[in-house]
Amino acid sequence: MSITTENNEKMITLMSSDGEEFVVEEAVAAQSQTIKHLIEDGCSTEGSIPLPNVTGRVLSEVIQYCKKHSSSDDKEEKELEAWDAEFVKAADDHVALTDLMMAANFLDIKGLLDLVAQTLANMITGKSPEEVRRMWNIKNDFTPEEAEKVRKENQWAFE
Amino acid sequence: MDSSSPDQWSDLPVDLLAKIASFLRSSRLSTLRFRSVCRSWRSSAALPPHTPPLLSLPFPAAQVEPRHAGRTASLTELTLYSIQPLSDPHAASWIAAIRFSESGAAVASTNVLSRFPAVGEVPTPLPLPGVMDLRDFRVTEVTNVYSMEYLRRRAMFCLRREIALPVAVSSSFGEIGDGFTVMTALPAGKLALWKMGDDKWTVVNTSIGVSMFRTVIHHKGKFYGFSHRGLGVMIDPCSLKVTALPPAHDFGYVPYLVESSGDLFWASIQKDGEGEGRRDVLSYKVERFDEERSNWVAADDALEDRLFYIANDFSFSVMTRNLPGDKSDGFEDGKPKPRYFCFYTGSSIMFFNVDRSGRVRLLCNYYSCW
Repeated sequence: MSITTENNEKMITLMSSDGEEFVVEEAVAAQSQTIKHLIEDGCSTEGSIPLPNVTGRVLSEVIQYCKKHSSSDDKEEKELEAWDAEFVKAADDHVALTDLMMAANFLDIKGLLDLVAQTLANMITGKSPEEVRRMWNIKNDFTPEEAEKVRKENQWAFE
Repeated sequence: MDSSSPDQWSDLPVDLLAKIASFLRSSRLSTLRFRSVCRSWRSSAALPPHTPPLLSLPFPAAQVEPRHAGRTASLTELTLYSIQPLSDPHAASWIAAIRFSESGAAVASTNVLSRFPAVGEVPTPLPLPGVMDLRDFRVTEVTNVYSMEYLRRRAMFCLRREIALPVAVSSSFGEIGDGFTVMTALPAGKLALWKMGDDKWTVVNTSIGVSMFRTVIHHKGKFYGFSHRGLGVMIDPCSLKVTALPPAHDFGYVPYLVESSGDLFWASIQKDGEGEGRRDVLSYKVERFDEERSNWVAADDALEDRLFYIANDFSFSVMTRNLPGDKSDGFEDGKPKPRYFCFYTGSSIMFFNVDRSGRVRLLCNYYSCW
């Protein structure tokens, strides 16, 4: 269902995997290439656009990002950078960031995908593999042969 | 951790893991660690290539001494790492300069500055192990430094001795392009520039008298040289235009140029007399370059917890708070913590302490014994 606001901005309704509905301006939703294509293909003329891979909690964050980035122009780059930094900080932990990254990938929002990937990369930097495994609950699944290769790669022998 | 998604991270599709790994590409070490987590992570990041550690350049003094024509010098990129054992998060971290072998294998060699503690209440030099498994240490890249050497024959026995020259480069080896430029101070004290593709060095006419240049640096797109008398020049690498800098005053031994957190400093050690056991009583002097006023200004208030390494072959500076180990935010029991910073001059390490009232005193002075 398309609604038009007073200033003639077309509105789009997005529906999350858990049935939550979000009404946003088309320009905001079109930050997502996936949604943009769905709109172009006429999928939004009736009812809302279902997004089966994205929960309402994550979708509201994504929309927050898209709103900010559709209303800012290039001149405000510095301010936008600061806003981005606060935005990922608010996402709080790696689980939330991982969800956000999956959503950014599915919705095809390059800026958000890069932002989250960079943040996760920064979180890994300086941590040992064991610390990363512990923190993210990842199983060390190397075979003994692979483990030996890993050991060799990680060795410094001082002359 | 959300218990409903125990394998959240290893479940990330390979293309998303690869996306994360792409942001680590500038750090070989981080990529190596990324590959060491589990199979899916390993398969999503390629083994990073080694940047060639050596660059062969024309012999820098050939113009001055024609008999050296045809010889070459080698420019080496060294990476400084801070290293801290994971077994003890409170342990002091070391700073080590690591040079990788030509083959790119994980072989590292140490040099004179290989071991000194950078963080810790009472610093004590610690030995590095002979073989290090990087997974047992918190290893962080601090900065890159450069050294240029050439071999000199000794007349009688044809033995060769390495001579190191102070050198500054316009970019790291990982970003070498057409505009890559190197500046050095020749043994005779003159400044010389070499640009990628040149078959010889260009001696810079600085026209500031008979000054011997001893220290060089690349800072914000310009080269700077400083003489043993504290006279300085700024050189534009494109136009070779030379601008005189205001002189440094009241320095002790040679003032060295150092970049720290985006600012340009000169730092020197001076002897204030002789103390117990006939050891020198030393102090330091540091000034910061005020770009707006184009002048050197007192920097004692801005030193914070900076660590300065000043030596003939290269100099660098780091903020010790950025190193692993002491992660306090500068406060202790609600009061600002005493700060300390340290100088390393090649022959000794001096730790200075700044107390709560802002007074600076020499904490300890280690003469290097390695």
